[in-house]
Amino acid sequence: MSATTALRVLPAMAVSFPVGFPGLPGAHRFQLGPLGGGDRPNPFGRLTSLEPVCFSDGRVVHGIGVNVSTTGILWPDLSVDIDDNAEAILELEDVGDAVVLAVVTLRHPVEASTANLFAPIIINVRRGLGVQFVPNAPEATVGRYIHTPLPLPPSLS
Amino acid sequence: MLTLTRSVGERIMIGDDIVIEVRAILDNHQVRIAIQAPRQVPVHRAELLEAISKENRDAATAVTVGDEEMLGALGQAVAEGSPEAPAAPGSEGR
Repeated sequence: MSATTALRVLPAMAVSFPVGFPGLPGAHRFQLGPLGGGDRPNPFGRLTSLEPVCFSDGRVVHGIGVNVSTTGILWPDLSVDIDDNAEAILELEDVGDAVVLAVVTLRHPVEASTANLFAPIIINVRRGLGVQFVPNAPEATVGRYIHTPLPLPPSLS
Repeated sequence: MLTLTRSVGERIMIGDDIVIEVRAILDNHQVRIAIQAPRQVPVHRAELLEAISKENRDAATAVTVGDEEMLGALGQAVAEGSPEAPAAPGSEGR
């Protein structure tokens, strides 16, 4: 099953990650929402944990989350081959219910910001279920896609 | 941590429904294993998951309110192809 998304505005919805969220231990329930406000299209949004995150060093952080981007606007050619494992976790029956997002890591200057296209987030919007899809790709390909530059407007790039 | 010694063709059971089998020991000291697990159980190479976890932690901890406002405005500029993208905040503290 291959998923793409042409979404121009992120939906505001609660999303459960049944197998958790890598790097954010203890976080399973998230709130997804668009950034920027207004009705204009915006590919960026915020995925905020509704549960405290318990890091291995003992810190407990509330309200932590990551910025995300729909992939359809920024990388229209990207498609993700969802495997059986992810399909089962997402309870995905219709690929049309799948939204593909990328975690965005903001850096300074903004031109250095990147998106993780190696391990996209897939959300079944019908069920409110999500998973960060980890492909069984060679380790050598991680660095190439985990830090994908954002396609910024000419005025910023 | 439990440590077991297994030969090629021998298996390890984890719970009722996860089976790990040693398939081959290669010349370069690598071991080929086969894993059988329920569809809902994610199985990943640890180094991949660790790289993704680190990137997620970086993404989660690198954000301030000002950054989010900038990203929101930037998103509208990107989506519309507008040349009037927002100014990036300063690079202090990074």
